[in-house]
Amino acid sequence: MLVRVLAIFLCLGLSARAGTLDDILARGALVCGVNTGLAGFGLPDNRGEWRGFDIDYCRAVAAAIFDDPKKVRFTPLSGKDRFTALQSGEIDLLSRNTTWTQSREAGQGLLFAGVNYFDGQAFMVRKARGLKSVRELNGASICVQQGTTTELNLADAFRKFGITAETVVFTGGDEALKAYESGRCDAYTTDGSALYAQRLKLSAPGDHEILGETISKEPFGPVVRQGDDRWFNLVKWTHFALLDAEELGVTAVNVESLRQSNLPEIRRLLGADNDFGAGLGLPKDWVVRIVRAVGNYGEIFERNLGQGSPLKIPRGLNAQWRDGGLHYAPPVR
Amino acid sequence: MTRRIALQALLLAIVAALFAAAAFNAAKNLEARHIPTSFAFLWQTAGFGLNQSVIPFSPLDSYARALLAGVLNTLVVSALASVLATVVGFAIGFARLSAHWGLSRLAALYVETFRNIPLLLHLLFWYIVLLTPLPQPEQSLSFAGVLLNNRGLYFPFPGLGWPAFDPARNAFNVEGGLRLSPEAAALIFGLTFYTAAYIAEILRAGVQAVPRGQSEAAQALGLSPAQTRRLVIMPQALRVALPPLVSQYLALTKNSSLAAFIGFADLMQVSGTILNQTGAALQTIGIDMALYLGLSMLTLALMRRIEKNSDWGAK
Repeated sequence: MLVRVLAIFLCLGLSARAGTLDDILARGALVCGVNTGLAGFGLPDNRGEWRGFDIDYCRAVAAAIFDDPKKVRFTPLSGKDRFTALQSGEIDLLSRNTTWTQSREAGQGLLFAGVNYFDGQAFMVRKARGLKSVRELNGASICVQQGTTTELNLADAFRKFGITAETVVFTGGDEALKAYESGRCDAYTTDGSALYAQRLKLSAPGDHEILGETISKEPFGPVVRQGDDRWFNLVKWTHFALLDAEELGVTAVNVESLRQSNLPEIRRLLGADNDFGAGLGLPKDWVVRIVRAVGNYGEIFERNLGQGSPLKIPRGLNAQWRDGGLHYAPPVR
Repeated sequence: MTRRIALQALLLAIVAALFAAAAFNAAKNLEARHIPTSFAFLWQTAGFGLNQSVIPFSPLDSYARALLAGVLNTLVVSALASVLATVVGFAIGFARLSAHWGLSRLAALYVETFRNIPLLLHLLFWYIVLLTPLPQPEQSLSFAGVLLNNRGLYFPFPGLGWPAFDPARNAFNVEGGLRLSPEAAALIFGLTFYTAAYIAEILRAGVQAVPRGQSEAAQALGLSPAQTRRLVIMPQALRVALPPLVSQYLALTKNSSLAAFIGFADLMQVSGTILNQTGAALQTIGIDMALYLGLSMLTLALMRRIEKNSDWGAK
């Protein structure tokens, strides 16, 4: 971190850069900031290939630009490093389970290109305790990983409930989880999505449960720097295109054949007649490229987090608006 | 002579101008990149809690107070570990110098093992070693009013009362008494046993630096071996050992910044949380650097005093 901050401080000669998209095209690859390792969101598999929900978002953007989801360079970043890396231009796009908050946009020169995962801070406890609610944790010891707004949410919620707890804060999620497992803490708290992933790391996942209650709103989304509207639009509409594709039933399997569809909405989305890509600096078939490479939003979700993954996270708030969820993408037209 | 002064002044002016230009340029570029540089955030409400603090601290206190609590935690742990490391280090050092072959080899084995393992592993090792065998608060071990479980060691203390586990009041933890948390204990143990290996070697180097003629002369004057050690060898050995010893205390203080890995609320952990919440990376890192520098200066000043007031220090 120190080295990174100093490096930025010393890069004084850096003048204003050209457009982000031009830089990416000249470089021949998108540089994407991702989690150092979070199952389901971003983790290298046993062949060293990055996989996950956030990874697929990087690949979707790369596919839109290059028609090749492999033209991405992944930069693993800690919670502390991530914004500095983006602000300094070290990465083009931050796709790393990052919560959209007011201060991050108003104070830190960042822009969130939408919400791709609705999460909330939750608690994992031992089943044997028979706890029903977070309010029953009065006086408990709670293990927390540093690096997010977790500690703030925890203190806020407990103040609201009028109860107290001991928070034990660790730099690494693994250490925090280990401390919880050893009995040092009565509960372990972080974003719900990560709890599902981390429960799998315990020696007896079945002995632990995740309380249904959440104590915060954690809307995750891809993040870009302020000052390049064209790039912001490209990322934002890649996200919307993934959602629109799901809503219209366009999948990785049928995308090619649907280019001949009669439905006007699908024809517009896939650029069968008019060109909606040009305004983003992309070709006409940009959505075809995206969906062919990574599938639609639902496919990305199920493959990495849902029923097709070990995590088995229910869609819940992350379902399409028609299915009782919160995802509602503006149309391509 | 005047030419030399003029040249020096010119050089100084150029360097100063370069620094000023760099600072100005940096400020401009930071502004352009929306990287915050103001220190006003220090007076905002911290919003997070600390599980350990020598001063009263609540989430409603400011970031500045959180930093103060963090730096005091660092100070207390470093001071305790420095004293313990000196005691253990001298014991091992004397064992290493001992004429007893087995004792000397054992001390050498200790030194080689402990200084060749990264400190972070020491800390994680002690943390696991302390946590694993200890019982849950319900089954606390108790002895003469002192309670021990995997949440810490609780002593009766005036004003804080007797520690007790009462499920009606708190179903999870022991309440009352003065507490040493497993995090603090693991940090103190790790720093102590790691640094002791270096201190043992420094002591050995100091003693072996005293010429053999000195002890022979002392014996010839009729001093006993104990007197020789106390009056002749040690004062000279410590004079050699002191500067590297001070370096060890400085290193120990800086090494304590690994505390966040085992959940201890030291300066680095607290400032890490502040950095996360405020995004004030440059300011927080700057404050950290200034505070660690301050702690080092404090150690140096203290050691200089000790050196001056002792009869074996460099005059």
